[in-house]
Amino acid sequence: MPSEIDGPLRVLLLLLLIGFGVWVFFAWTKYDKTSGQTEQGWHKGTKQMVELTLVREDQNRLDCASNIMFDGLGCEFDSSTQPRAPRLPDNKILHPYCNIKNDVLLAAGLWSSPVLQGPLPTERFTVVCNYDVVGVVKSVSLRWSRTDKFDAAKQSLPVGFVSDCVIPQ
Amino acid sequence: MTSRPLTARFARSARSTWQQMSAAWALAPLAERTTTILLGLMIVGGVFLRIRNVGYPPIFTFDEPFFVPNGHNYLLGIKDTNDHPPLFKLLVSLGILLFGYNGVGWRFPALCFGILSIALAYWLGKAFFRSARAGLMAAAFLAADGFFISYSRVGLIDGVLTSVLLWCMLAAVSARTWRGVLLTAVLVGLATAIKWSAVFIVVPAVVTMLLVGRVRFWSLLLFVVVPVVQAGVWFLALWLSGEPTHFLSLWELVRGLVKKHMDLNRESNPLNSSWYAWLIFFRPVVIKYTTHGVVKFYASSIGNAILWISLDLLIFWGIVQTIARATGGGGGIRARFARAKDFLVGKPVGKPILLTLLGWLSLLAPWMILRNRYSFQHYYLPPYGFGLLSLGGLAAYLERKRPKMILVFVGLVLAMAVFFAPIWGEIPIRESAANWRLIFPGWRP
Repeated sequence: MPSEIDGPLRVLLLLLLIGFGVWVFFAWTKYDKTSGQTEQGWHKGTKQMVELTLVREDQNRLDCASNIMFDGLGCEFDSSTQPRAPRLPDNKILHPYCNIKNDVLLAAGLWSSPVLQGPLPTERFTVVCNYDVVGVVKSVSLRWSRTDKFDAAKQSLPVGFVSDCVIPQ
Repeated sequence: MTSRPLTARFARSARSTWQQMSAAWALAPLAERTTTILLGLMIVGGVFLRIRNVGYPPIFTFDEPFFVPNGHNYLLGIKDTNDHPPLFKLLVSLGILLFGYNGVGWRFPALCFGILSIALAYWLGKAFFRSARAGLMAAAFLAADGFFISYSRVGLIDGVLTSVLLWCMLAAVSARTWRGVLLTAVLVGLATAIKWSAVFIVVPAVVTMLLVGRVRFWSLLLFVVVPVVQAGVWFLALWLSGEPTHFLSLWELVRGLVKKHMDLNRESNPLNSSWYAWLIFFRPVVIKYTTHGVVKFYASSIGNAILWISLDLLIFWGIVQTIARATGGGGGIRARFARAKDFLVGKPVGKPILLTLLGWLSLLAPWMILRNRYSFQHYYLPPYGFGLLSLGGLAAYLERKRPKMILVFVGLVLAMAVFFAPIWGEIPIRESAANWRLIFPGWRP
């Protein structure tokens, strides 16, 4: 093989060596045992602490539409954006929320939490909950106001239920 | 070809390089030896700054949300919604596959290619200037520059793109027959599968192949494989994400992205800057910034001031000298042209400097011509890499006559790197100390 190919191929070999060296280095430092995972790294069966950002009007305006059910949890609307029949109990209905890092998740049970039963702040507030991930949904549409149209979610979203919610003081 | 002969050749090459270095060390005067030590420190320090704690913070920084979730999407088998071709995100997905969905995983390609760029600068400098010393200078300059360090520590496209573009030029400068041309074209195809603006590397690559390798003109027709390679990468990406993989769907996708880019040109962004501002690092960005108690972690894309000022002066001085020779001194057009030509290529270092600066100009030219409202300092990373190659070649050339002057220059580059290291490599630092380095408010996060 002529030498004109050797130089660029040597780069490929070095790239593989560098990749292997980096992999060995991080395996040796046990990086995966100490690093945190971002929200998108949640997986089914885990419990996470989430801080959701809300206004009190969100109680009646955040909806999702999908036919998929997870452990009895589902959207209030089906994939044709018609109300699901029969209607699910309130604490089983999924709604979309944003956490403080602006990541979207689908959760049930928030508005039936004891902490949200009393008078709520008039300004935007946050609520911290435990979030049990029961699945991930890929085909789902969301709307953030009852007057809006449903838009298809651009990414897969975690699905779960929240519990032990508190409003941080 | 099996991996064994290639590995053996690689080992032989490494042995030969070591022998050459030992011989050069034995013959070198004290100033040159001291310079070599400083260059070695710059390379070792540069690799250290790239790799240390690269996974921190374990959340997205700067533009990572545009690329990383889309890289993750390929593993989930869902659509990539980013507006760049897919290769970089495929590399991100490989990192996530190896390390998990964490900072190390999604920054793995940028880190590997960031380290590779140092070696590429060495090989390119050596190939263009026919001097291992030029390669060493170029590698050390690239290693000790914060623009490259910061982009090796973040899951963004530009560091990887620069590395692949340097790789293209290494293939171009090595090409002697149609095989070399074909390999260069394949690499250009891969570069354009990272970002479309990479296509402008064709200009310096073709000029280099014709002037250095003297390849046959017809062999340049092999550049027809560039869109084929890019389409191949697209099809792989579409297949992984469960999208239709026929030609028409790819055509529609590409058309949509072109329109999106045209629309972006009408938008503005608080971080945007024009090409001429890049030359003086008017608007560098702190691409990673986190707070931990009273200390902060910065990865600023501000370059090494000694290097970028020297590069600007080299270009400015070269233009002024060429114009002065072409317009002054009397004589006809031929005499003026001969004087300008003698200045530019009369010395052995002239031609390789012109070729590497052609790389600088070709990769900067699109932004000069488009005068894009939606352009940023990091677009300057690939041209700047070629600029540092020129600087490395010139420094090695001047060192033969003025070793002490180059020792002082390299010492200043290293001193500047040591001073800026905390804000390039996310070494914990107090805000007041960081502000001493990021002296202009526009440089701060």
